[in-house]
Amino acid sequence: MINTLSILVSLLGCVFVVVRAVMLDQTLPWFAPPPETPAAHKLGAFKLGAFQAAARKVIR
Amino acid sequence: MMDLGLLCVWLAFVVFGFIAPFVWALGYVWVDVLQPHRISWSLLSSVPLALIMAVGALLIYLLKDRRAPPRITLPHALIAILAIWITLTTIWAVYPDRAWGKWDPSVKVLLFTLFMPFVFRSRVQIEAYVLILLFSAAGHLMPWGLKTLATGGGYNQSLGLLGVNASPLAESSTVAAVAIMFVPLIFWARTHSLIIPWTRIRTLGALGLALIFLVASVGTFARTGLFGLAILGVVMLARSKRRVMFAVLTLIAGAVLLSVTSDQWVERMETLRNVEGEGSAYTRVLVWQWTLGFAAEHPFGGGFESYLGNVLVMPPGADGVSVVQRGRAFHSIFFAVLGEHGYPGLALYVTILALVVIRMQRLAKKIRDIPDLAWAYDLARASQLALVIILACGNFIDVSFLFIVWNIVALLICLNNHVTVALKERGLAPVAASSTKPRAALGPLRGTTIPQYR
Repeated sequence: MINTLSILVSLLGCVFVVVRAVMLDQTLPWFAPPPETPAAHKLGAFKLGAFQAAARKVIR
Repeated sequence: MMDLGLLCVWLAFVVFGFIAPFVWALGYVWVDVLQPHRISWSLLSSVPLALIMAVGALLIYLLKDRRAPPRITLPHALIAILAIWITLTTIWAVYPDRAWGKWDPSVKVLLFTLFMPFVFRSRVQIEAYVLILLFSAAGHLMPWGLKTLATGGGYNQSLGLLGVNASPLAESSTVAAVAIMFVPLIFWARTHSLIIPWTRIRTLGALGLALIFLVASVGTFARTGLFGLAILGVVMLARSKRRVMFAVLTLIAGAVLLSVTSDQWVERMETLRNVEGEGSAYTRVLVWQWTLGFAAEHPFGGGFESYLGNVLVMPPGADGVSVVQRGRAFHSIFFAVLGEHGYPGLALYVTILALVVIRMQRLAKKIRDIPDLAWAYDLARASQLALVIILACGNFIDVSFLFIVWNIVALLICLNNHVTVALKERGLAPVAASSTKPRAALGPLRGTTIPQYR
């Protein structure tokens, strides 16, 4: 019981960290805030591959 | 059911790894610390998870994530030399078969320590690395803490996920040291985490986890744990802004910890006063004496597991008979490295650790008054304390190439690189610019383009 509870906490914690880290790291385009500066805009455009652009279209 | 859960989490690492390359490296850390293939009953037990995650992390880094690699630093070079040196000492090892068996995980640990700074570069990535370490270790350490709360713990008992001594995180002294080592990092996460955004949940979770880890350390009945607790208490008291309150809280926590243990715990700790009268402690002293003699005969090391050749004569007991013991382990990081890799190996090992701590100390001084790098300052101090605790405890246990220890080294190198880049962008000269200057500003690196995530 204690072992199962510990593993559950550990696993849920790890999954949560991974999902949040990917969101905050702006890897998923639909979580990324809009670019703030012209330079950042350029970088944002650089990061948008075909897959990411398509994903944005679908979300919109 | 548990197997299914482990499989789902592993698949989550793989799937998210294709979206964000650094997740593969997080997955490798998860596999190496939690060891799901050993916990699993059937599904994952025969899958080479660590190999898959390591190869995946390396490949996806090379294919998708090679922007702005950190410049090779002196610690990097020394870790690479240490990896070569331990390979050489294994070639001339006294017990080659056993030595190659331990060389395999040890050299992997060093190589991955070299690789980590290439992957974890932004604040979010570094924090994710710390949290995955914490949550993965929690899978092993929480059972020790919770079972101690329920039963009072006990020496050499199987309180963890795996059987007694089945893995480093199933050995009582190592569990005691590692549990205390993580406490400063837990408190850092409580204060600075971006990934866990809810302050109240973060505070409650961190305090609960820290308490469980401390109870786990006490519940092992390992004297190493008492040593680690003393260091943690003294350093945190010295760093605390409210020392009187901290001292009072420490006393209350001490009383709670003592109440969950038994008289046996006190009796076990009191054996520290009489080393010669206690077999386990006296054996360590004899092994260390033997190691000094062995190193004099083998100054370039006898290879991994060279302790197998020792023969120790214990002093006569009450019945007047001396007991002879053979092949007793080193029970010390520094004596283990000295015996296994000789004086050059020990010099390299100590230099790497000292260099990492000193460089971070110098960098921490530089960022102390920069508000948006407060997280890095506190993480540097927390990681340093964690490393000092595990190394101090390591005087009594052999964790010289334990993955978790080298993870802290890698964390400090990652942090050093990140802060150096941040300082350069602010027009401040980085510490030791000649060796830590980045090749390029991080620019398009994910997670670094938006200031609030710095």
